[in-house]
Amino acid sequence: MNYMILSMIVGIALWTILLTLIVFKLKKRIEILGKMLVHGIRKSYIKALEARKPRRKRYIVFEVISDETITASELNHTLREEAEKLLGILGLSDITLKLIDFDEKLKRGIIRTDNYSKYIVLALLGLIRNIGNKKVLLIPLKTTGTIKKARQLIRST
Amino acid sequence: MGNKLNKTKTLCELWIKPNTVDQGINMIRLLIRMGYNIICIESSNDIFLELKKQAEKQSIQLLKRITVTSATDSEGKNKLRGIRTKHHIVSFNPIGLSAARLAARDTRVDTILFTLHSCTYIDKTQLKMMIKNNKTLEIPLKEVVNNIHNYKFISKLKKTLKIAEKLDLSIVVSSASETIFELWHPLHKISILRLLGLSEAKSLSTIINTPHALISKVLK
Repeated sequence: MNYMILSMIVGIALWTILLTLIVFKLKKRIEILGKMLVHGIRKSYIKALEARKPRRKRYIVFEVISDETITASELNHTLREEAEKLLGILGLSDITLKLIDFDEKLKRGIIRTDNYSKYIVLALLGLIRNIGNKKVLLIPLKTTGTIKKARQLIRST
Repeated sequence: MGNKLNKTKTLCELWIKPNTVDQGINMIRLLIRMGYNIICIESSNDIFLELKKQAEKQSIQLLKRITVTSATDSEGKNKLRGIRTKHHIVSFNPIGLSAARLAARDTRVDTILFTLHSCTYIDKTQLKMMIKNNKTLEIPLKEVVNNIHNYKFISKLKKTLKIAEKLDLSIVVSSASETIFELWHPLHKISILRLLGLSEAKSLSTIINTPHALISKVLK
């Protein structure tokens, strides 16, 4: 008898977890369906909304090629300056751009951005040819989704 | 993405201009690191032969290219005489309307450059002529970097790229670099093309497929 009650409780718990998961997975779709019914929004618009990817963090690992020593503050300043020149203040406010880490010995660094502004940041790296009066070339090595992997990549040869 | 490109695709750098052998060797080393397999060099015969010896050790294909600049069609014809046998790739920088039209018609020309001086003459008619005669539009990125704050040039470039994509014209990008600090990584090239308004598929094909097709056609 006890065994039956226990198995019923376990069964109900499992079903509850499963239903919660399904509801969470379909939450956005249910919301969109609600909007469609209430406001009468077009189906194509809803499809476009569904196709839109969420904003995710991206870490670009890069290497500086230069004969002279480059400091992190110099690099950070140049990145901001060039981005402002290229995109303007409004454009700069739309993108995510932050120098996370820069190893002055290995001349490698990490820039945090997101999946939407990744190509803008990559183009920006290509357009930077001078830091102060020093000639440089910034080569992207890899783009990762986690900072842990990015830090590993800096140390790897 | 960079690693994928390195492993599976043939990447071509269509224009480097080393002034000395050492400079050329350094540039080739860096280009290999970036994942390029085919490199086109514009230099004197001695430098090219010396670099070719070095490149053979590293299993890289080196090709010789030349850029012809001309203002009129008669000057262009004179400069193009006997050029095809000595060079693999012939590029034309037209600084006059008649020269631009000659470049679009002449079979000896492979690519037509889009520079600050030639951009005025590369209009829709020119692009249509180029499609008809299988010519490629070449964008030297050194010119783009030098004129990045010249809004008229960038606007003209964006308009031309938009029309070229619509008409399905072949586009290639080259770095036109003289030192290692002017070289371009393939990812930089793709990103800058996307920033200039090309679609992702077209920018990828501009970097991977079109240069490869051009070189295959030239080496036939």
